[in-house]
Amino acid sequence: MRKMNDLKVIYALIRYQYKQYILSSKWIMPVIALIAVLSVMYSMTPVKVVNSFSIMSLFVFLLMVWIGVTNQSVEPEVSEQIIILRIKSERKYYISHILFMGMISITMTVVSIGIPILNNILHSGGVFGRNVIWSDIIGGLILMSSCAFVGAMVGGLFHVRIINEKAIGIGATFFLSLLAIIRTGVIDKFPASKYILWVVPPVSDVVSWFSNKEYYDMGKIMVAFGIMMIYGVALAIVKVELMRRRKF
Amino acid sequence: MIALSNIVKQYNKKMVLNDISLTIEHGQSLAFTGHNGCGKSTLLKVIAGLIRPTSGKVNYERPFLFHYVPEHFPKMNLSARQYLKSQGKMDGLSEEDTDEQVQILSGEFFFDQMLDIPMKHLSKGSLQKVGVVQALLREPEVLLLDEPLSGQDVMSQQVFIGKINELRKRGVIVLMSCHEPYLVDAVADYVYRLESGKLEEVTKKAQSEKEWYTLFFEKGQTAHVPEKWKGHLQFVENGCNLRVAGKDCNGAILEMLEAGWNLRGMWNEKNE
Repeated sequence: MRKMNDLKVIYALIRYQYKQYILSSKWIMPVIALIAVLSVMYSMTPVKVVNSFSIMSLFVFLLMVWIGVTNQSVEPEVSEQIIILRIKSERKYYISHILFMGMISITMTVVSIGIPILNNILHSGGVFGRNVIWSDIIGGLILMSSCAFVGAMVGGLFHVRIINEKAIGIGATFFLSLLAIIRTGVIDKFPASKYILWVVPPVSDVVSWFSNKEYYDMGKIMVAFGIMMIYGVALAIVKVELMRRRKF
Repeated sequence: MIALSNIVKQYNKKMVLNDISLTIEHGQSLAFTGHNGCGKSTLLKVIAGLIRPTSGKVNYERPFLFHYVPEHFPKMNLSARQYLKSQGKMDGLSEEDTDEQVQILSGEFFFDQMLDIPMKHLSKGSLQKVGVVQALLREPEVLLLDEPLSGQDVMSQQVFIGKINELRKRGVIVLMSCHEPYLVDAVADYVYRLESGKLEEVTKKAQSEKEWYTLFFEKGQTAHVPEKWKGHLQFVENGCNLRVAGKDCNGAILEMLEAGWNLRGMWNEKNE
């Protein structure tokens, strides 16, 4: 019964955050950026299915970092306090926020994969170099949504209550995102850096597994998903615990 | 019961709360007074567990349901109805109960016509009413009030006082930060002054059977405030409210009329 009530509260929180986010119009610029990148990406056809989805995964990662940063300021601090007291749990509140970011990640992924596939159908298979098969769609959805979720967690990590100086927080987020993208190259050039860079989400490593591949290897996709989820959930736990410790 | 033991709170080496110990029992109503920035809001938030004290501890008999009326309710893109319905759902109320409560409370606080306006377009007073209504959707165990009357009209203030006193009768703990002696008199059992981080009890008003009345006077052209009632008046747009014990009513009315004020309303708080 108590678990049922907890689920109801989390559902109410997610719905509330959805309304707040939609009315905030903070989603407009990221959506415009996504459509612009999709237009450029698929303007010179035919493109390789796996390759294009992998490149889009990197972009969606960055897009979700952006959304993660801007989403921090959607809810005023006072109403956060009211809600946390009302539901008697800081943890529930922050978890609902993470779930909401997960939902945005999935939405962005579906749009990023759905639009080119729809376009491909409308142009009788002219967008991709070959027929799109189910493993392309499933592999692409899994890889991209896990990158998107990690991006959202990176974007939300340096909250203004964790790092009081907003500029420093944004700088740290930018630096961490950049490292996630160039990590593979840095480790190739400076092998010793792997002892430090293991803390950075391995977005570039995971995506590079599939670059220039004709088809997704579902085994590798599941490994990639597992690794990204470990990083995503670890970042989420760090954030929730820091927020609970720092309070207001 | 909520027990504060040796609470210290410092911000950048500035001591805001200095070794505060306090025990709050069920049904008590406490008012914290003091100048702006003296730490009243911080104390409320420390009690609610929203702010971690630098040292000291807050112990709760059990996890309490706190509801909070902030001093400045934020402007949002949501309409008051959307916001209040969301809060009702978080409170665990059904859709029907939430709708009913929102309709009843918004009517009582005279803003039912504004329910569908985005909150970013509401005045400070109307926003404050949203802040009050969200806290009353479901009965809390502890009600935190941070300057709850700021910007509210006279009639809404009366409704608010009536609601708070109803909750007190049902054993709800009321903790408020307040400047207005008028409100303190109306709802507080114990009054504390916060100064230089220290908490000092200034009045201990037993829950007496005294009847209290609020008188509303309209300002006449030559009106002045009689010396005796200075500090007891709460000035509003066209006049002032004066809260007096039943036995002092006739005298107060006479003196105010002689001082150029016109009596326009009178409420018995006990019977609302």
